[in-house]
Amino acid sequence: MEHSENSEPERIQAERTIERSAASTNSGDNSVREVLERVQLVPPSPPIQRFLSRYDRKPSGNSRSDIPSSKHPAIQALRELAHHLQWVSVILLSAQVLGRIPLELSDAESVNLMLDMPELSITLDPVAILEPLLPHEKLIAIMLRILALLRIRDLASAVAEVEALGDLDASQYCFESFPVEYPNFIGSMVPFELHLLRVEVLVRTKHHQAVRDLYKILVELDASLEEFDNGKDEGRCESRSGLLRAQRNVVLCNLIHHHLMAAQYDSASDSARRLVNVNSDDAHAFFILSRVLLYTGNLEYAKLALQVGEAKKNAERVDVHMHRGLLFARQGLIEQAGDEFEAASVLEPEHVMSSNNAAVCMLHMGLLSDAVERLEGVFENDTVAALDEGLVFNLCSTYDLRYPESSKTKKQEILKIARKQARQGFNTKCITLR
Amino acid sequence: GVSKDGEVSNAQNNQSSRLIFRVLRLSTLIPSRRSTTFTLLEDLEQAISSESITPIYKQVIDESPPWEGEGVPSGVGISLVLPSSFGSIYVGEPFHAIITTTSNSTFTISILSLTIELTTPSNRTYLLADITHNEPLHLNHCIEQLVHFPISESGSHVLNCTSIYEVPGEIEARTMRQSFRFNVLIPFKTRIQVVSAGLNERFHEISDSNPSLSRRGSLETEVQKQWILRIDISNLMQLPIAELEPILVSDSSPSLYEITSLSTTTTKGGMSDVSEIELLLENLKFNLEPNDTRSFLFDVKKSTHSSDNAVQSGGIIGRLDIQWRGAHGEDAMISNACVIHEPIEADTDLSIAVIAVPRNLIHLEPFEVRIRVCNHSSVAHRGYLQVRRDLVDDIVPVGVSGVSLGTLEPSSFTDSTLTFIPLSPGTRLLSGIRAIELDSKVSYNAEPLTLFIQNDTFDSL
Repeated sequence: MEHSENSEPERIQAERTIERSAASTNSGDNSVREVLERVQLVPPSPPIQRFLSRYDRKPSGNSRSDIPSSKHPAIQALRELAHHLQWVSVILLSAQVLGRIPLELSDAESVNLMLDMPELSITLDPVAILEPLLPHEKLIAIMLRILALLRIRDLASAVAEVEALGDLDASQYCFESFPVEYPNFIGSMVPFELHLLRVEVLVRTKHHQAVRDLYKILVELDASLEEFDNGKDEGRCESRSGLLRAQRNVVLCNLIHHHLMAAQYDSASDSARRLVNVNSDDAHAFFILSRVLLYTGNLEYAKLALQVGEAKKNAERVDVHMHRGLLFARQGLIEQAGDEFEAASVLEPEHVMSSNNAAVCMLHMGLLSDAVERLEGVFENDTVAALDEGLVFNLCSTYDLRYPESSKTKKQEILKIARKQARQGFNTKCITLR
Repeated sequence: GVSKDGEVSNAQNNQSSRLIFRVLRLSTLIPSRRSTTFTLLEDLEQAISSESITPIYKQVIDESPPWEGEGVPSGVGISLVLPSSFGSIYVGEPFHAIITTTSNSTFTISILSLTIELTTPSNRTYLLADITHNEPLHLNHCIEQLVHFPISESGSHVLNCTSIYEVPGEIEARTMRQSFRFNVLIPFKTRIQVVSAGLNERFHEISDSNPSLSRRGSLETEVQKQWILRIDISNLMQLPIAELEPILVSDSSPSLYEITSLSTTTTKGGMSDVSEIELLLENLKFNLEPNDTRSFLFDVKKSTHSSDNAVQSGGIIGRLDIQWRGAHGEDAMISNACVIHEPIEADTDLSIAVIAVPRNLIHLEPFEVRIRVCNHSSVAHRGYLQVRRDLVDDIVPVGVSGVSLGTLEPSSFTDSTLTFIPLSPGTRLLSGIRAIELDSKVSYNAEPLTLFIQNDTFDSL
């Protein structure tokens, strides 16, 4: 079914259809629909207006409709919380809006209190956020919920959520299954990120073959972009092209990650090469390729990728020094690597990873005390930024070496600080208490 | 990662250990792998409408969260993390560690000497460090020492740390000794096969530009001997390895053997940045997964000036070194993994061997295999080359599964090609190839060959 741009009368008709859907929960009566079509248009009531204003459909391609963006207060709140990495709040709020927890006014109040964060840029109405969600909005809420569960490493709950969804290609997730709510929309309403999250959850439960689904998505994206480039995309607009390219970059990055985690270095290199091919003027793509090639041990090619990336316009000096340092470190040239990381640290003193890497290089040169001092300095200067599992693990390992008798005490101090200041989902297992 | 298990062998120190040894094995530094960032793309849609300067699709790979712990754009970060455990160590890998000697005495002790030794299964002891430390060691102060040693034996190794020190008020010096044990494992299982080719011609790998052809030649064993050497290497390690390469080192000087690897790399003139990297990435060496096997083919020729036609046997072609890059990134090598001898002359009338396959084999893309059938006897034989379809793996013949070899004259050979197609990617067996002597109906089977089939590239999607 081809989609066409909505003319004004069609839009009004669509609004009336949704208005009827909002007013009557189980309306399927065509005669009622026909009657309402003859009703003179009146301004919708405020609740209905809020309902209607929640989505604003953008022009889309000729094969499927874009998923409408949502202005539902709950969805906006969830996104805002996710942006600020408040995963526990995302889980709590998503449980409420998805109807997992019985609705009580006290719950609404508690939701308001929970959301009373200065970082949030929106004002929240505890009643409005509990208004019913459209089907695609529910999927967005579920997606954010799964993301939050993964971030706090509650894999079992994330698996349960994914299994409850079932087959994402099923008709129940298509716009056509909801003609009343989504007139003139076709295709799947599943958010793009939900596909990726599903694969992530399955891979973590050892179903690595789920990675193949990413390749299917990649093929579809390539086809869509090819249509766009050849001028065949009827809803052709630059924003859509940009979004498709962004999606493709995300899929490729996910592929690199999954293949590396499975030690499939050739496939990871292939995905990184692909990323470079489609972002040939972006330094970061070359830097990613260079890092991946360090795993395969192809240092000559990693160096070449780094050199090409350095010459790109958006190459930043800090990144250049960091990647040179990684290359030297991989080659076993520890002193040169340390120099590069120090140079990065001088350029950006708040760049904690440059200090971390410099400290590791010091350790490899036998300068254990200096390495401990460096890591402790980073921890004291910018504790929140330094609460990275890798850096903290390095610090704990150096404590074991340097202070074998008192390392446990020192690590317990770090654990206390982490519990107070670390981000939600910080893995305290990196602090190895023995 | 820091090892503190050990035993104090000096009974006098059981009650009050004034020194503590710690060992941290150091591996090659590789950037950390982290969960990939999940970019919530609806935010990017808003960025589109706000006409952000940076193209939004690039923000996906530009932006990274404040902590790498939250994930990095591609899943491979920029931080270096120390090893979380000692891990397995294999023959050929280097042992690289930092060892600390820390004082936990309330007194300021004087370290007279610090010795670090490594004892191998053959009971040989290697001195890794011998330090005379004249400075006093206060409480919680430590001496740091880096050690590096190439591991060449499998079995139990013991790292012994010994320190002689003086405590104020005591007349005699004390000794503190601590041992750390670790087991070195065997990384590979190797299988060597030497097949007589008996030719006086060099054969080439089939490339896409060369059509298949059938060639005949004579065996002139009195002028030059030639063999196909096949080395199968199986990965016994728990982690994959990269850049696996067997190297044949000739045992004689000057070398009696000319050894040529049948794996070739393609080169082209590269122009643009991307195409240059593409070109180089085509020449990536294979990775070998755990329990995976890779076959390597070599052409070995021996020039003999003697007119003596007596069968030569027992000659040493060379010794095999194997080098690779370990999972922790270290460069590893085993020298003299095995000795390769000349084979005893074939006692069969006919022999058959696969002598050339293309390097890059792609899933569902046909490729040609060159097969050589030699007649070692003094009578002519009529031959037929066939592929037994009931014995093939996932590499199946395309089109006809047999060709007539015609009449093989005494002491001659013939080359033929067959086309195969791999039905699935990964490590697959090329098998079922045989030559049949038509008069006696005796069949001679070619040794199965392990081949690696690559997945389709994205460009071919």
